[in-house]
Amino acid sequence: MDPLPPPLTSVTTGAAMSRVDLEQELERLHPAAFGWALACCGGDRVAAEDALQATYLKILDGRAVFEGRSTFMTWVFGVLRRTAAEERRRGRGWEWGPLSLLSSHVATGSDRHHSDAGVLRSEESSALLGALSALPARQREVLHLVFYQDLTIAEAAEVAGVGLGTARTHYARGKAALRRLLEELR
Amino acid sequence: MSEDQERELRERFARLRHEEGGAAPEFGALLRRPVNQPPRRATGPRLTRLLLAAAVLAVIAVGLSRIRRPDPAYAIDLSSTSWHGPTDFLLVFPDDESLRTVPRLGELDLNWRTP
Repeated sequence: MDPLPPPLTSVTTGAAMSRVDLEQELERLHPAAFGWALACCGGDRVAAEDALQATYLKILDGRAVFEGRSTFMTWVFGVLRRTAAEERRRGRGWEWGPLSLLSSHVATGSDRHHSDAGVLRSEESSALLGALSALPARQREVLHLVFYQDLTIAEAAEVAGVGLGTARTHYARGKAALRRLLEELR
Repeated sequence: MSEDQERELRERFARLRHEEGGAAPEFGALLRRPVNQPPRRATGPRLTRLLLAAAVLAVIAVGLSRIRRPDPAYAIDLSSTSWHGPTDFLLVFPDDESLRTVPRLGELDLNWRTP
């Protein structure tokens, strides 16, 4: 993934953005946002694409409005994180109920259109993801945001919706646990 | 964690980012494709669930109503019964009456004088 080009001026000042500006900005962040969407959806590409699309539409339709209180990137990531959680709840709410066994009319993943290819990863990256998946969700989120997205811990805290101190704790504990898990896998 | 270990971790994440970034769908295509609706259930199964829930409630109600209260004909009048513990005799010992009553010492004679 190439380094991100500089953002638009309106993004840095928080001034009202046109749809074209928003699209341009979202496109700039798209590869990073896809990585974050995958992290929010446990590596499920279909779910990640759905969450990402829903997030973009929410932003472009004005259902989520950037007010310049943070960077555009952390704001988009925050919206994406919430949207992925909403999609997960909406999509699986009934499926978890014991009564769902009675129904055979559930739309399955095969009914839905999506990119058929998964994400091809090296063995090393798969091992990293495996180790990450063993961590508690908050630790995983903070580590992803700091190491993968190159955000500061303060920005990661903003995206994850936790305090700075809490994010620091998750970062330190997560890093130590991840290191341990990776060593065990060797 | 040493600096080397931290650097190695960053490199691993960078490789993962590179792999996943390359697999990202095209922005415009993702934005303009039809929206996937989350799986929803049709009215039929919902009605089935409601009927099943009602049936379960009915079974519970019938079950509760069949829990029989004791027949008054066989009820025991507890006020007319008495029971003695088999070890009560161990609590009975000679002169135990003095422990359960206040001893009477007789009347005090205030006019009593020494000779």
